Amino acid sequence: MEQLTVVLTGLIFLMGLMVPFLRRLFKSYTGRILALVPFALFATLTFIFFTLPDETSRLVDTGFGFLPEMGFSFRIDGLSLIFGMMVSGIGGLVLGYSSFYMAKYAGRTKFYFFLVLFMGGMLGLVFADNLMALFIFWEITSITSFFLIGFDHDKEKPRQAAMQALLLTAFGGLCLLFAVIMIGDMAGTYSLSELYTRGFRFGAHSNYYLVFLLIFVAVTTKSAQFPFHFWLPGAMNAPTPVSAYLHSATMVNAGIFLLLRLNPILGGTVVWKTVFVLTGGITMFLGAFYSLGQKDLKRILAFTTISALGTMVLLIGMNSTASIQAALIFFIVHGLYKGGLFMMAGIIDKNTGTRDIDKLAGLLRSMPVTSIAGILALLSMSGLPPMLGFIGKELIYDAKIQMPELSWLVIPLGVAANMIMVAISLWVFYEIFLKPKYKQPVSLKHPEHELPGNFLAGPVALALVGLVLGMFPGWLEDTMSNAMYFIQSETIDVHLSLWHGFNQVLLLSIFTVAMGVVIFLFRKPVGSLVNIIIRWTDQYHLPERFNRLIKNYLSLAGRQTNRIQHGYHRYYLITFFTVTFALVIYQLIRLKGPWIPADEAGPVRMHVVMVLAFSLLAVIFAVFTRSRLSAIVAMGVLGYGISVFYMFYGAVDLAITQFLVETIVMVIFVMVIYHLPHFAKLSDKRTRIRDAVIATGVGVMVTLVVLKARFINLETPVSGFFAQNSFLEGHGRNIVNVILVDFRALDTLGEITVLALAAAGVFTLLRLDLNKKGKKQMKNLVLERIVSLFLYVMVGFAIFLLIRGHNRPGGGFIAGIIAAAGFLLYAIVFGSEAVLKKLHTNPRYIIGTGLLLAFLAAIIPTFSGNPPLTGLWLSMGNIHIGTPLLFDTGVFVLVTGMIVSIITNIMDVLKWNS
Amino acid sequence: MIVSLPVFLPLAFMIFAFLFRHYHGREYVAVGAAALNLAVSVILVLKTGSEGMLKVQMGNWPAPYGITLVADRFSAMMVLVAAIVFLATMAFSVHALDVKRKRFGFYLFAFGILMGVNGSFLAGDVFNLYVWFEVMLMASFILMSHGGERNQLEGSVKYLILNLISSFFFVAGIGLLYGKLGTLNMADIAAKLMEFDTMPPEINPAFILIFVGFAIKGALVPFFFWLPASYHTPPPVVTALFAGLLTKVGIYSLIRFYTLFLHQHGEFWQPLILWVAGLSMVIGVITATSQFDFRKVLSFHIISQVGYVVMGLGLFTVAGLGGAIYFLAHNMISKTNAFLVAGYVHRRKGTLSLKTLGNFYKEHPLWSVFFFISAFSLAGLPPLSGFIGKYLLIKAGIEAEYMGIALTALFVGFFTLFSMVKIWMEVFWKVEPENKKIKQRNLTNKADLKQSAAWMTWASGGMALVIVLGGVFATPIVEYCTQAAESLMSPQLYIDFVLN
Repeated sequence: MEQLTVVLTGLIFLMGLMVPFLRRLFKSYTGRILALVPFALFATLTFIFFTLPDETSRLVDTGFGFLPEMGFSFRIDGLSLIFGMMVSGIGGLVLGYSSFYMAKYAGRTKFYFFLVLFMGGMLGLVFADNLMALFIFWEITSITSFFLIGFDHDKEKPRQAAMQALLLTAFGGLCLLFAVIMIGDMAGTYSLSELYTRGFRFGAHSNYYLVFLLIFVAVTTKSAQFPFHFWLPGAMNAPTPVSAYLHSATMVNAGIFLLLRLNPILGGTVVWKTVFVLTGGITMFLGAFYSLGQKDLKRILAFTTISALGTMVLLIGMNSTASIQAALIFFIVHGLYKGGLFMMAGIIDKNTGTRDIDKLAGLLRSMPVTSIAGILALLSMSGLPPMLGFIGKELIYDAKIQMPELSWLVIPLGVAANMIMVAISLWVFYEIFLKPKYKQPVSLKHPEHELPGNFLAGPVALALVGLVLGMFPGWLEDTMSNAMYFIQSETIDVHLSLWHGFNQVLLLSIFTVAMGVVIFLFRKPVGSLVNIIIRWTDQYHLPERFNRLIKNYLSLAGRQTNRIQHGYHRYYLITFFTVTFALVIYQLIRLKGPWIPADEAGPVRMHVVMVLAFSLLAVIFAVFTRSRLSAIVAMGVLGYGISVFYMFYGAVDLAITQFLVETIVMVIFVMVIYHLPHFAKLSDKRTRIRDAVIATGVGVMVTLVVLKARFINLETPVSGFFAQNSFLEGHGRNIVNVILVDFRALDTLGEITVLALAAAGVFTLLRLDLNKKGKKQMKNLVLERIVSLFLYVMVGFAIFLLIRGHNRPGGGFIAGIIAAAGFLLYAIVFGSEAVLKKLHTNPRYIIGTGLLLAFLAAIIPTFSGNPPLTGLWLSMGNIHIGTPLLFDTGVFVLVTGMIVSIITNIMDVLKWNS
Repeated sequence: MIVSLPVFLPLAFMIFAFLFRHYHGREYVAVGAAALNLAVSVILVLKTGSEGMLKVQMGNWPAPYGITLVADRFSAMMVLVAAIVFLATMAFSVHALDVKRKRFGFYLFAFGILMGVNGSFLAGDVFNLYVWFEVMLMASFILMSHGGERNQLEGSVKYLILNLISSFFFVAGIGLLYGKLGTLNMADIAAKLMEFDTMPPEINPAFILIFVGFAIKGALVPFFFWLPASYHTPPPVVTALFAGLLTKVGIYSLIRFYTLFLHQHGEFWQPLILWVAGLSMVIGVITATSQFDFRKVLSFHIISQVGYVVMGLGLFTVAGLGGAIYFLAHNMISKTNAFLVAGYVHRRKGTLSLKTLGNFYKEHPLWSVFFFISAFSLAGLPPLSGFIGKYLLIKAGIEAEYMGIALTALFVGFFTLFSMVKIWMEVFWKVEPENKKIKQRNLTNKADLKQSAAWMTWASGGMALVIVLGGVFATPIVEYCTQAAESLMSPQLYIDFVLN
């Protein structure tokens, strides 16, 4: 039987996910078909209900969980049975009811989809043995209720209501998550069974107050306690079946359930009692009070729900045997009558087109079945015999009287709330079922007997259950005892009866009813008084406050965002540099010792100083000049200076490369410079000084870091290995080249990819939006001859450099640039078209070929089982030919192609040919 | 060999793109190559799962002299997730991108990014890592400006310049490091640092420069400006690709460096990292909620979510790192898919301004589901992958007794949810406002409407499925991440593996 529970709960989820297909299959019968599963579950649970022994819980481990510690194991005990039966039973009724109520709505698929998943979520929550699983289902109910409340999302109001509900309950959900993880951290398990059997009580733990606070927020938001109650009246924007379900057995009751579940672990402390009693008491009274001022039937019911939830929280907070027992019974009572009343409201709304109690009248005659069911539910709500509600209320009074230290507060509040309940029940009864003289009876759209049976079945069934349980409350005793055992962790015999003698409690009940009648009789003055107060408190109308809070938050966030992401490039740069500066300097000032190593300071070499001075002058000139052209030339000079430094330290290849690159870059700059906008001086003196300070600071920082770096140089650098093995293993005397094409060929491969991408990028950037380019050519045969010759010489020289590069200065990079320089000159003289003609192909094929060659050099060795890029050599005496040379050729071809491609593209765009 | 394939495979495609640039089926070749890349990465994950680590010495030169490519569980996982993201965006682009952009090298540059990203994940050498950063930067800059629309160029300039500064700091740091330690191999650096009893403080400035380089790449506070300035400008599919891959490489590198090097000076780095994480989470989410553009909301959120990952790193426990890795993977997928949905919305409505959008839930229920799954996964709701990620991190925070940052992560999740709900309400639930301009735009979009969107649907749907499965069947994934974290937490394993 327990296994069946699991299967059926799983089936509900499955059905929910399959609704889109089921709808196609069953059309308008979908609701009724779907209802079968919860009914089956209800039947199963009923069976367990009558067979479950005392003090036993049944566990079914499904063996599945998102994570091992979140296992979805089912826990069936008195508490989960009571909740589970309410959820499945009312769930089935609501589904059946929906199939008529929703018949004319668009988007029924979505409705059933979310409603069934909502039901599944609630069932999962109720049966979860694992707190994390409980949390997951808790969130599922929050999410699905969001879609249900916002079902009518074309309108502003339901959207807002849905958002408020989601934000509040999700906020609570987050708190729950944190609390659950903390409990898990403290106890080492999330399993309720384990927590129960090992008897954990965290009341004295140092983190208890944080956990308590988080649980408090979770419960108060979910169960609509003051001051988070306001989302619940808004939630009635959902279709009525949803409201019926939301209020009676699910969603808001989840908080109550959670409190009962956690009671043995967290409950019973002073703070638990005080805080929940206070919150519950206030909510209980306020809910009842506000219900007096409403005209909309659903709104009245919504506020009475808040009051009822307050009652339950209050009772659980009191934490006595009697109060917990009362809370459990009251949960059943409330679920039964509230579900019935909401369904009744829906029927009335459908049939008359209004829910306004001022307009409704005389329904007892025109809709007798609905009315009688409604009257029974109202009887239960006002706590009158022979309904179960009477027993519930008696128990509540009993529990309150038994708490002398709190009774001074809870009894007046409770009696007041109950008086209002009586009054409001009478009021509703009088206004809509009877026919006061001053009112016209409303006209019906359908005679009642035309309404389908399953539409009426819901309220009727619930009213009858309330009545029968009121007559035979003994049926509940066993399960109640079982539930009490797991909530209070002690054996408690529950005795329920309708009549339990003439005592204090009964006197209090009689007083309550009498006062309720009095309020009803004076309903006009009372109503207007309540309205005045409500209007006064409306300036603190919480839903609006909440919306305004969001709006204020948004504008604040917007302002802050504009301050942070302000769009000024220069300030971004300043932030980057100053933060880095601060971090590095913070490190540097912690260092002790001299800044310049005394023993390492070599003699000052004159030629170095000169080049340095020259470069420095170039930099200063570049900073202060007002012409772009001079700045570029100055930067070029700096580049040459660096290249000279490379020379001094013996890196000939680097020097040549640097020199060539610098030249090509300058040429390209000069080509485009006249097409740039005028050089504008945008910053004033102060900002220039500021920038100068920051720039200098960063420069000083780098200098200091480099100076300090000299202090650790303990290690033998890997370069020693390169020097040793370059010729022996790499077959090349030029270490730089061997590093490039062999030792660290992968870096080179990456870099030439960058170059290839850059060339292609220039092409796309310049061409993607352009149409055909203009064509013009210079004709000068003599010049062409000379320049062609120059081109051939350059290409030849480049190939020479490439081949000898492995042993002497040269190599693919340098060769590529040299060859490209030949094309560059040719292009400057004859225009880009001519170069392309000379090449007989598009430069991008050249790039591709270069990349391909390098790729082959990388891949070929793998066919003989070596890692990629391994040098394979063919030796003929002193001559070694190997894949690194192929690689280098790839580099050469690619670099040539890339530069030619970029230049021709730029020239095309600039219409250089004219 | 398998370790180097994620680098050479994209390269092969790029060569194809250069040599056969007029071939008309380029998008299908691209999707095929992306699928192949996914297959390779699956093998890589399986192999690292059983063997722990794999390496290849490029050019057969022994470490630390030659360049090592290393795949441990962490990098293999990242390569796999990147492959998923990449395949989805490539498939999405088949129907999403205009013909012109496709013809002008979109796939070439996309594979350039893939090559750079994979290379970064596998690099076992700091300079090599820098090279992959450059490949990525060049390719991404071009894609950012690809098409040359005005606001695109504006975004690209900021993107390029601010990222160049990242490169500058990074390469300067590498230079200093090399000058001090005489090696570039990561394992070798770690080994040499371990020889010191206490890490010499002279080394820290180099690491700070490198850290700033990574923090810029990873868009952490206060170095994130380039991201929101540029991510909303290119075509949505490009943003989706970027959102899934770019910042994550910076964060990956930060984790790698922290676990190998920086942890030795933990008393300085750990609080710094945690503060950066907390501030990134908070500032990212505040700025995100204030936006009224679909893509801007998502872009600002990247900052916040990257903060979560860094938080896991800052906790520096196995649980924290494992959570960080899971979160990183989750975020790459969920975020990309959220942008893919934005791409579809843009395609249908021609705008991404929340105020002018509406009606999407009614008109495109399937895509609403895709968005719902991605966005609510980002907000960390169960049963989606984001929930697991958030849970792992918060749990790790509580266990490590960093209540402050754990609570920050918790409540940042709330604001994330808020902004996702905001998008949902504005784009999906609201009735589309009547507006002449929009009507006209819709008319001009008619041609678009007729064109098939099948590839888009499959791409985004597949990703949504991954998100759900990643949450529901999280157990093996989390196990893998935890193993990855364990091996990260004992760097000696890595050092021994690479050097021997």
